[in-house]
Parts: sequence; structure tokens; C-alpha cells
Amino acid sequence: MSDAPTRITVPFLDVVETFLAAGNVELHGWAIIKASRRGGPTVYKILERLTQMGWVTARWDDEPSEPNKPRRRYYILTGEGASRARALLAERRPQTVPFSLRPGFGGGNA
Amino acid sequence: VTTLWISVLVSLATGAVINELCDVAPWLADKTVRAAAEMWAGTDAELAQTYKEEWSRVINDAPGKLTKLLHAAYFYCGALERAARRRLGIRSIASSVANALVPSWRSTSSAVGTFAIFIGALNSAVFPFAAQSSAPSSLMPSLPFWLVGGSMILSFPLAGAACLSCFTYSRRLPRVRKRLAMAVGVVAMLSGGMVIGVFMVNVESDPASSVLLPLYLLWFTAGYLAVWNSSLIGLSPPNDGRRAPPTATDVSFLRHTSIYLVLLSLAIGVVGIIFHIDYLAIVAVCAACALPEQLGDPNLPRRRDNKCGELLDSSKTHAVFRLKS
Repeated sequence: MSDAPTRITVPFLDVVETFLAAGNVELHGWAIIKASRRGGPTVYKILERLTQMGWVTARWDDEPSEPNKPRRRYYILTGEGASRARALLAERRPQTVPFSLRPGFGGGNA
Repeated sequence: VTTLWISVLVSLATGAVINELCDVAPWLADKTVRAAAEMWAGTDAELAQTYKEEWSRVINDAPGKLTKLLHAAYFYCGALERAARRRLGIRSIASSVANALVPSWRSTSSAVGTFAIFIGALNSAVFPFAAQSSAPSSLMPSLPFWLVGGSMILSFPLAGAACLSCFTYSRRLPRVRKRLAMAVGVVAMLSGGMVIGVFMVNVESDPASSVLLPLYLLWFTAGYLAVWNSSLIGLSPPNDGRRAPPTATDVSFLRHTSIYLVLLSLAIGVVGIIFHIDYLAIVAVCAACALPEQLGDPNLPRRRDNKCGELLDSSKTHAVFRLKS
């Protein structure tokens, strides 16, 4: 069961929008920072909140393509998180809700 | 020719330094971001380890060499802010500044420290003007100059001490730092008093000072009285277990005292306005604004960690307490 956000800020919406725009693709930290155009600490604060709310899950890259480098950690919206995020963006940023051909059952990103 | 050689050498040295810095930047960025992860996570070792690896990779993914360093610095600043918030038990830097400027009566050392800072710092700002406006005398170029200057210099560490005195709210801080806040505050007050003393010496040479001086003394007396009151009644939080929470009588007395002191400050402000002594008016109005918070209206928003009262309502910005009787 995911929680509702207690505090919705512009960076929060940016990060959520980034996840929705990515669809089913998992995003790593730098990708989120780059796509949302927000600073690292800001993004990670929001990621922590999203994770606590149950909107986002994270996993380590088990098979790193570059073994000499530190592993990446990938984030993706959960099914319920995606539907809630879509509803939130529709409410707060109706013009920027990404259009998707995927059916909305269960949020589509499960 | 010498200038040409110097410029060539400087440009070569600058190029070498920048080149070296660019090579060192990724390594430095990695170290910085790992330190940031530890600071961010606090006592959570698992989270620290997670972020160390993850942020290290994030920095690795960032393009450029100096860009990595910039991003790492950003992470470090974010972690620093987070650590400060966690350590001080504050929600935001803005609220900590607000608390530093307007602390409540719950901590005696905080009240003393902040009052002292308030008085000392304003003195530092006010007395140079006063010294300039007064007629030159044999004393002016030497002792008063140094005292005013010293007071100004003191105001800088005292500004830090204002924050420190605010931090006395936090029970996590060691008692030594609370004592330090109080000691610095007392020094501030003494320095302010010293400057006033010097100003008294100069009264004879400047007729205008004879008008100003009683007002300053009055205002200072008000400040000292306020501090004395809060110290005497012992409105310290029971965070050290040595002082009891304020009783209803204490609060009532303080409320009345604060009203009188505010009126006094406002009267001084009016006098300042009438006599076109702008800075005096500003100081008095500031005092009038600070006093009620300082002396404590129990209905004013209180901080969350107030142990003197029962938490009635809390929001993101403030918490309301009912005093325990």
C-alpha cells in the first residue's frame, strides 16, 4: 500500500514526471538527475521519500556492464506508484502528463 | 622584458595547475561524494555504504572532470545541510535562523546569549555612527576607536554565538557548548557596556551625546533587566533536570514585564524618531519586536522539543504547546 505525498514541491513533480516519461525503463541516479534537471541531493531526498511512500523500488545492477566501476542502482515506479503519480501530475500539471498508449490497468509499470 | 617573462611563467604555471587540477578532480570528487554519503546517512551504516557506491557511480557518470567535482561539491553541501538539520533537530536553515533571531524563553542561556548578541551587535553598528557624530576629542582617535572597533570585531563571533545559543535547545549538545554560548553572550554584554562607558567619557565634548546617553542607558537597562528576569525566574527548559518548568505565575509576571519593556522600547523609539535619531529608533523598534518573543508569551508557537509543555498542535512550520502547570 503506497502513501500519499505529504509535501508536493516542484522538484518532486519533476522527478515524478521523469519516471513517468521513462515508462517501464529503469532509471539510475545520474539519469534522473540529468532528466529532471535537479541537483543530486534534491533528487535523492525525493527518491528517499518516493521509496518510503512505496511509489518507487530500487535494485542494484547485478551484472554491471563496466566491472571496474561502482555499481549503479536502478529505480522504477511501482504499479500503484505509477497510477498515483499519473493522477498527481494530471492534477498539478495537466498539460504535461505524458501520453502513453499503454493501458492504465494497475498503473502499467508493475 | 621582466614583465614579459613573469607573464609567461605565470601563464605556464597556471596552465600546469589547471591541468593537474583537472586530473585530480575525479579522484577528489569520488572522495568528496563518499564523505558526503557518510554525512548524509549519519548513524545508518548500511545507507552510508549504499550511497557511497551509488553516488560514486553517479559522479562517475557525470561528464567532464571539473563537472564531477562540482556535482560532488553539491552532494557534499546537501549532506552537510542534512547533517546539520539532523544534529540540531531543526527542519530548515530558515527556521534555525528564525530561532536564532527570536528564541523563546525556554532556555536561559539561549535568552542571555541572544540578548547579548542583539545588544552587542547593534552596539557595534550604532556606536561607530555615534562616534562619528560626536566632536573629536583627545580620546576619540585612540581608545574609543579601538573599543568600537573591538566591539565590531566581537560582533562577528557573536553572530555565530547567536546560533550557538539557539542550539542550546538541543539536548544533544554537550553542556560545554551551552556554557560557551552563555559565556560569549556575557562577553557581548560587557563589551556593549564598555563601549557605553567610553561614550560617557565623551559626553562632555559632545552636547548631543548628553541627549543620547540617557536613552542608550535606558535601553540597555531594559535589555539587562529582561535578561535578568529570564535568568532569575529560571525559565530554562528542564533539559538538564535542574530547573522546573515555569509556573503560571512566572509566565504571567513575564508577560507583564515584557509588555512594560516593549512599551519602554517603543517610547525610546518615538524619542529617536522625534529627535531624528534614526538608528536609535531602529534599535528600539527591534528591541520591541524581540522582547515579547524573548520573554515568552505561552501562546506563541514553540519549538517541537519543548519539554515544558504539552504538544497541542504541530505543523511543518511550528508547534503549539500548552504549558505544564
